[in-house]
Amino acid sequence: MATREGGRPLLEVRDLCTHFRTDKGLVKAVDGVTFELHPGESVGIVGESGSGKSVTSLSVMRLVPTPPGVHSGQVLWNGEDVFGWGSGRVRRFRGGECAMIFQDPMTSLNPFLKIGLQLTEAIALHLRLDRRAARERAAEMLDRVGIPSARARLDDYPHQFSGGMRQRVMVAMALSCDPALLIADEPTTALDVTIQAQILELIDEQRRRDGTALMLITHDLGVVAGMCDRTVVMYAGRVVEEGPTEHVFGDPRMPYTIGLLRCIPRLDEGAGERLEPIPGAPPNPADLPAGCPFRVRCPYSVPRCAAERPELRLLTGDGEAPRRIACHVDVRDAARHAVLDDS
Amino acid sequence: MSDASPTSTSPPGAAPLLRARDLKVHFPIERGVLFKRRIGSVRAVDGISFDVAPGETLGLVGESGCGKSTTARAIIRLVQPTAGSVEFQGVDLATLSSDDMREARQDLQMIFQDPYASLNPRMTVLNIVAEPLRNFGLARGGALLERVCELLELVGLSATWRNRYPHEFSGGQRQRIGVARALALDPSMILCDEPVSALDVSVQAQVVNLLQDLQARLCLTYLFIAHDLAVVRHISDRVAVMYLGRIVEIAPSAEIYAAPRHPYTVALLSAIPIPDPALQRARRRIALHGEIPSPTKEYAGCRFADRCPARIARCAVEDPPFVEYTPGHFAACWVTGPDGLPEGAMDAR
Amino acid sequence: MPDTDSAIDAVAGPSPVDRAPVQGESLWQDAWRRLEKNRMAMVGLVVTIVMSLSAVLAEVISPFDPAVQQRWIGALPPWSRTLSLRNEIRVTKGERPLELEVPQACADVLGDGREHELAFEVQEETVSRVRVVAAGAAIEALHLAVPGSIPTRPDEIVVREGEFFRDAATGARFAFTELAKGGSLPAALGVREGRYVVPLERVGRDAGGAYRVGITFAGDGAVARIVRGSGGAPPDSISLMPAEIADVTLDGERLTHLHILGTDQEGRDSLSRLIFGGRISLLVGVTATLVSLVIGVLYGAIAGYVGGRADNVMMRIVDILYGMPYLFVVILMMVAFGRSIWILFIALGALQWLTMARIVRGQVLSLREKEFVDAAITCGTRGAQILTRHLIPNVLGVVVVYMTLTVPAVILQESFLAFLGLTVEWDGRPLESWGALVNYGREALGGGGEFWWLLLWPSIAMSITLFSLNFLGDGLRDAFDPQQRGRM
Repeated sequence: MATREGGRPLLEVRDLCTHFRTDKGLVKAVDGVTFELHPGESVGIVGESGSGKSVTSLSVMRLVPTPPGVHSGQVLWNGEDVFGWGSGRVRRFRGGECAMIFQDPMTSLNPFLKIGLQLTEAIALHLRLDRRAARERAAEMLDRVGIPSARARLDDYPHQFSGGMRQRVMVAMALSCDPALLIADEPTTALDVTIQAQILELIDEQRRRDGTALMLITHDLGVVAGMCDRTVVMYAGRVVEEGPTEHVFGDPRMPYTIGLLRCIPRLDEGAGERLEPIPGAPPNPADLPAGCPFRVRCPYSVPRCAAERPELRLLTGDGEAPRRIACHVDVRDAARHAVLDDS
Repeated sequence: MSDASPTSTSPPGAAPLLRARDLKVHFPIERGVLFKRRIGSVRAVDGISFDVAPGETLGLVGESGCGKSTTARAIIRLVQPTAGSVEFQGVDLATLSSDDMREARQDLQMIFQDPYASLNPRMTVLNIVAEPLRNFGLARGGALLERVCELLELVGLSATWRNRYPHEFSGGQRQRIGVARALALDPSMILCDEPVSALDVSVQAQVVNLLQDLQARLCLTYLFIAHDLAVVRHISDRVAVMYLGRIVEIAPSAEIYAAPRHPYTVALLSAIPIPDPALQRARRRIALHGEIPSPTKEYAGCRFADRCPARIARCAVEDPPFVEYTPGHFAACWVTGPDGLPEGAMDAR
Repeated sequence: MPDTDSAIDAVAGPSPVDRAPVQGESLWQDAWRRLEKNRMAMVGLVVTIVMSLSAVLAEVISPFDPAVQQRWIGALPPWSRTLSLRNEIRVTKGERPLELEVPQACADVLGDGREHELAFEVQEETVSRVRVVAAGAAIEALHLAVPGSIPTRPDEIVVREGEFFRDAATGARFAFTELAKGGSLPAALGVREGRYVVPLERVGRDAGGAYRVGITFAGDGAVARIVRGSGGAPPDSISLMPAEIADVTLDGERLTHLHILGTDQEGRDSLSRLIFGGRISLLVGVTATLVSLVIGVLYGAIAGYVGGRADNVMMRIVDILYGMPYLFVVILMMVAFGRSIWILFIALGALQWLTMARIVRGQVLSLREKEFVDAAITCGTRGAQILTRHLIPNVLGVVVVYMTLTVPAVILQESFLAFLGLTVEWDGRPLESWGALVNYGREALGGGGEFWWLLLWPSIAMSITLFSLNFLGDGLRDAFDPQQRGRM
């Protein structure tokens, strides 16, 4: 966490666009995303379905098939451009330097192969260990993620594990090669809350132990609040707010973030208060409106919002940690004006 | 049955609209190619009792497989209850003939979880909302059209969209169509089976508010089922927590968070992340070990005993009774006492 | 989008009914839009429509009657011309000839008020004398005398192509047959009482010179004059066999027919046979598919909807039927019940419905678990309506795709049967599908491949149709594919 200021970022995403050519037209799944991630840091990427948060992570991993996908912008890994790499370098990167956990562990585990084989394969490849040493490491990893009698379970097939246990296996697999970055794409969405808590705790604990950076992709603000140093809020393929988690949650400046935080019922608040929903629905990524994509749902929108797309800008002042928002309006001023107008 | 005295699970002074008693739904597990043998059963709902008073919202919360959806489906007889009774407006739905049940459903409707699967993709919105009216011959021709348009506007949709198809709407709008269909017969009670779980967070609040507005306007009674305790607590007057086919705790919404009495409720609450970094990091999470066991097993004692951090020897052998501790606050637990769970009971042993 | 939490209070202004509704796009329209973009599928669709139209309008578009044999023409290669003759020419002075007694082109202009001349080049005939000794209708003995030779007593006299017999007394003719001792007398000669001798001439056309026959028709269409170029008095009536005629002109213009795709060994027009063959193939394909559709959809939908033990029993029946060797069953049915086309429809349809039933049952089984079916039950929809309103419309997409792929499968199966010689009949006449034509062509191909077109055309027609239907089916499957259906 201390590495946030200064030092070279581990991952730098600069103006990343990932568009898809489909028969419905050009789908701008990711449309100008910029953020960076330092070694050991945890960043949460929050957004609703269609906000482009998953495609961002797949783009970083070079997992978006091109075509139909078209990339532009840069993804820099320790300063190297990921899109410039050959397939051999990409293979070393995936799994070795950067590992990924998906929402549904069943789709990322081969149902016909024993867990042990799937674990050792990656370990042998990336850590250049022989089979016995790799198996040793695999058993050690399963033990670390809390799977009882780990060594015996190496010879089980994925279907012999429960949902939560499978996700533990995925965590073990992801961390087995000592990656510098762990990308977790909705790792707990398919799980129940009590299991979710277990898995999140496991991921947090294990990545802290190894000093692994974390990129956590989720729609659940509560998950990000508990686990991430910094938060990136995405909407319609763009970053709309980015900053230290406590600031983004405590003093959100982008109207979407404000709306998102206000519209969810919270356990720590009194029951029975009326929710303040964001009107409308997220836009279709195949048909994004001009200007700010949020403006049609935004209570603060001004004529400029329709004409000009707000770029991510640095919020200055207050001497706080750097944070950025993509909004033409200063919400605090707008709120003051609204109060004046009412009176 | 041990949850013996459920007669008073409704708030004091109100005659319940819906009264479930010892409701059980067991699904047979069968083997064999042509001639099936029954080799066991899934005890999806295993003896639950609760009351819902007119005009109130009872929230039913629990993790997947706890039987909360099956409870709703058994009440409205989409599945046949194995045992027990469901009295609705004084009539036991569990024993009605299918024709009588069809009539009874005019006053008892349901909203479904998946806004994509709950609307027939080949029908227009008009036909979807008009279907219940046509089925019971309640309106025809111009009157039917007028009623459908009125319903659409009531749930916040434009009546000019009546000739469109479900796939042309967003998830939130589809859920509104489902609400309009449920309202068509002017029911007194609606079973809401995870109505917002499949929606985007920014849209969930719209539907929650809509349901609350409709309740106030049309004097509706809800059974609101969800796995998200925050949403359930927000919309409900009382909350029932289910675990493995049983209700383990029923309490007024304010109390369930402030003073939970069942260890499972405590663990569930602690597992729900709160979108406040300082609070969330400071909270003490109670780690439950293992996962929800298979509902095929038979239990002598408390179903939660295997995973319960507070369990005592008695829990494994004797089923805890459903006891009212404070007015309207019931729990089924041997450990909890008049003052709630003893200090330190939830600490890992 | 008026998606606000306060929308309930927003109802105001004119009644919502009065505002014009926005027309939605159904999934069918959506699928069609997708299909339109698939070029191969659209080509398939167009070809399928053209093929179907040609099958329906076979009588109108086919240039010839596919059943009329003209053996004297024989197998002609594509783009050949033949004389416009279908029948024996038979005219009598002062009478209007019947339509079938003159070439078609001639019949069209006769009686239009003007004079017309029909002229024939007739090949001089070689004649050998035949005497048939008969008792009743049966032939007792045959005598053949070729000019300049000693008469022989053969057991049979066979007439080759281009030859015919002529009754020396009455002039009655018959062709393409054989006279055999112990056989029966040709009907053209009539049957007389007792034992008698019929003097016949066997007329060949190979040798001899040519002469001209001119027939002049008056304005009313009656025969005004007959001129015979070989000399002698103009006859009052004349009868010419097609085989004798080398050329025909009407008012100085040659009367010929173009056989675009050639003719077969019986002189039948290949194009016409192809068009009518297509009708049989498509008819069998479509009808058998419809049979399978009705049985399969109903059976599958009921099994899937009722479920439980009934489903179990119904599907085991399907499994058992699947295990039966279908070819054996079809052959058995055709042997037992005759070669009626209905048997073929039923036999092939009864085979195809098994797969259809399985597909529909699987679909219904998964649809039945969908929440909209639960929703329908809760809002009071009865069982039969759930089936017809909610389940069946949702399986139709898959059914349409499978149907499109079943038609070519059935066509192929029928042609396989036809190839084995199991052709069907209608009114006692064989119905020749493309499969039968291929079989005929294969036989005609022999060793040398001289009649290649007889095999080529039906093969091409069948291939194009099967390709088109398969492309169309694939296109439809893509168009209906729910995975592509955007959920964005």
